[in-house]
Order: sequence, then structure tokens, then C-alpha cells
Amino acid sequence: MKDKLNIIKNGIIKENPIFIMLLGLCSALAISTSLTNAVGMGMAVTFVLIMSNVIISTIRHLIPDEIRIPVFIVIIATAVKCVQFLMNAYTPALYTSLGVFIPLIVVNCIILGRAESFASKNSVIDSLCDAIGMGLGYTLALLIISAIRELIGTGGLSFVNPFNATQTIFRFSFFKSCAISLLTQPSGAFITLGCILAYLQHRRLKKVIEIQKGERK
Amino acid sequence: MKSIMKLGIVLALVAAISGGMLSYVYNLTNPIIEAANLQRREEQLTSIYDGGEEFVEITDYIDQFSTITNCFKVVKDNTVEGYVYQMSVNGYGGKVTYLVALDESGIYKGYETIDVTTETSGFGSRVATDEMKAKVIGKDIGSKLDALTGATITSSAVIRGIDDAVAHYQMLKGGKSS
Repeated sequence: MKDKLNIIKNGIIKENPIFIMLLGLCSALAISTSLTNAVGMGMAVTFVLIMSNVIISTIRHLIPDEIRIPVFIVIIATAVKCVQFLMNAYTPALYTSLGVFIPLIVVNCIILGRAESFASKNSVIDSLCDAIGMGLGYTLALLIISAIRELIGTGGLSFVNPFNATQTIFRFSFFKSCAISLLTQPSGAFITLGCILAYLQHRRLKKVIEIQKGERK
Repeated sequence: MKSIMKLGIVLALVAAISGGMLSYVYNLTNPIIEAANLQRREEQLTSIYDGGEEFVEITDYIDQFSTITNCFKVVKDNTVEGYVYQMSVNGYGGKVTYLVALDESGIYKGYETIDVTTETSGFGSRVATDEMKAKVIGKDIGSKLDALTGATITSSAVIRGIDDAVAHYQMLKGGKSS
């Protein structure tokens, strides 16, 4: 049981797809303009990851090695198309605001990456845990980026129920008059991500230096 | 040779199962999507032309314009108030569908997008915002409409579509007077 939790934790923190592995940045940077988008995209990616990881690890012994990549792609594309249909039917507002980035999940490298490096080598349950961990890690990273961008870019934070666009869960506005709208632009996404990565790297370096000091003593 | 056959069969099998699953999900969700779209269009037709009581679909000359999907005559108290066009043009990433309303005196009465999901969020998708609406609504049909800076491809496509709607509108008018 503990190793399953470790797999999940691994995806959220130690091997966070956005902050540590820097995978799937295109869609992450593009849609992280609001918390609602982040949650919606996070759910979509998590769902696709779970479906593709579980299916691929179930049939991993049946797929001939030579054609495993095309088979993975077909499975992932099917999962994404299913998500697209479901979102169009049940979350039309989110479907509109995420736009072209939903079909683009097909080419999101997190999904193919996990299929190739984890699901094709591990058991179904482990792959499921990995998918949940990676999905949550992706969602968490999106939430952090979009919270910063929305707060500074629009001067407030809001969250709308992804399943019902008319139901606002919360909406605050703090300093609307001095919001920096650059942060809502794509360049703002790069700046935000750069700052977060610099901070994480700073922490990691500090830890390494401390360990080295300890060894010297 | 044998292994190639085997690989082909496995791949075909995977593709077939995927196709079957997709068609199942499609059949499951399509009625909901269609109903939602229809309801949204109904709401948009009334919101784009407030005061319109009845929307009558007309098909005259429509086949001459590839961009016009539907045309509705707006009727109020048995007189024609204006026209609402449903347009579908090629934007940057794919089809952009929207409604444009013209009233009987030749003024753009309304503009509303239906589907801009093919356009890049934050760029082409700006044709769905009030920014674009402000450039269209209230203008005379003779005046030139400006594209949006930074979303030129999508907004020019939208404007070319509006021009088509105007051309069709004038054909309807011309047809009536002769």
C-alpha cells in the first residue's frame, strides 16, 4: 500500500510533470489564465492519463514491441476524443474556453511519456496510481501558475463551477486598478513559470550545498 | 512476412476497437450536444434581435454563398424587421461560426459568435469578445469594418463573411423591388 502512495506522491512532488520534468508546457502555459481553466484542463488531462495508462498497462503483453508507439497513439487519441465529446456535452462553457487545447492533449508529452516509460513496464494498479499522481501533479502546477497569473493579471481570483458556467463558487477582487495585464498574456505565462522554476531550483541548490557541507565536516 | 501480417492485424484490431468505442461515446453525447447547440442558437437569435417575434428560415440565393449556413427573416407584427445570418467561415484553425443581424434600414443590428473553439485562446478567440462586437454593431452596411490587431486572420475572415451576408441581403432587397 505504501509504495502505491509513493507512486502517487512521486507524480505530485518529486517528478512533477510541469515543475520538475517540464513536460506538456505548451498547453499548460496557454490555458493557465484562470483557476477555472486550470481545473478543467487538469481534469481532462488526468482523465486521459488514467484511461491511457490503465488500458496500455492492461494490454502491455499483447502489443508487439515494434508497433507499440502507434498503438499507444491510437489509444491516447481515442481517450482524448472521448473526453472532447463528454466535455462538449456536459461542460460546454469550459469546452469553449479551453478551445483547441482539448484535442491537443493527444500530443501532450506527459501522456505519451507516462505510457512509454511507466505504463508499458508496470502493473495495472501501479500505472493507475502513476496516472493519478501525474494528473494531480499537473493540476496542482496549473493551479499554482494560474493563481499567480489571475491574481496579478486581473487583480482578483474567481472560480466558476466547471460543470455549470452560471454557478460562481467564489469571486474576489483586490486591486483591480493596478492589475498587470501582461500576466494574462502568453509572455506572462513564461515569466511566471520562470520565477517558479528559479525558486524551486534555488531551494534544491540550497539543499545540495547543505549536504555537501555536512559531508565535509 | 508472417510478422508483418501479425503487426498489421494487431494494429487494425486496436484501431477497430477504438473506432467502435468512439462511435459509442459519440452516439451517447451527440444528442445532448445537438440539443444544447439548438437551444443556444434559439437563445442567441432572440438575444441578437430583441423585439424579434418570429424567425423564418429563408433559402433564396443561399447556395451562392458558401459562408452562409442559415438565414432567418425576423418578423414582427407581420412586417419584416430585418435578417439574421448564421455564418461559418475559415478562421486560423478551422471553422468559426457566428450570427450577424441586419435590420431593414441597413444597419448592423447584432453580432454574436457561436463557436470559436478552433481558434487560439487569447488571439483568434477575441472575435467572440465585446471588442469585435463594438467594431460591428451600429455601423452602416456600406462602411468598412476594421479587423482586430493581433487577431487579423480570424477577424478578417469574420468580416469577409459579414460582407457576404450584406451581398446576400442586397440580393434579397433587389429581388423584391424588381
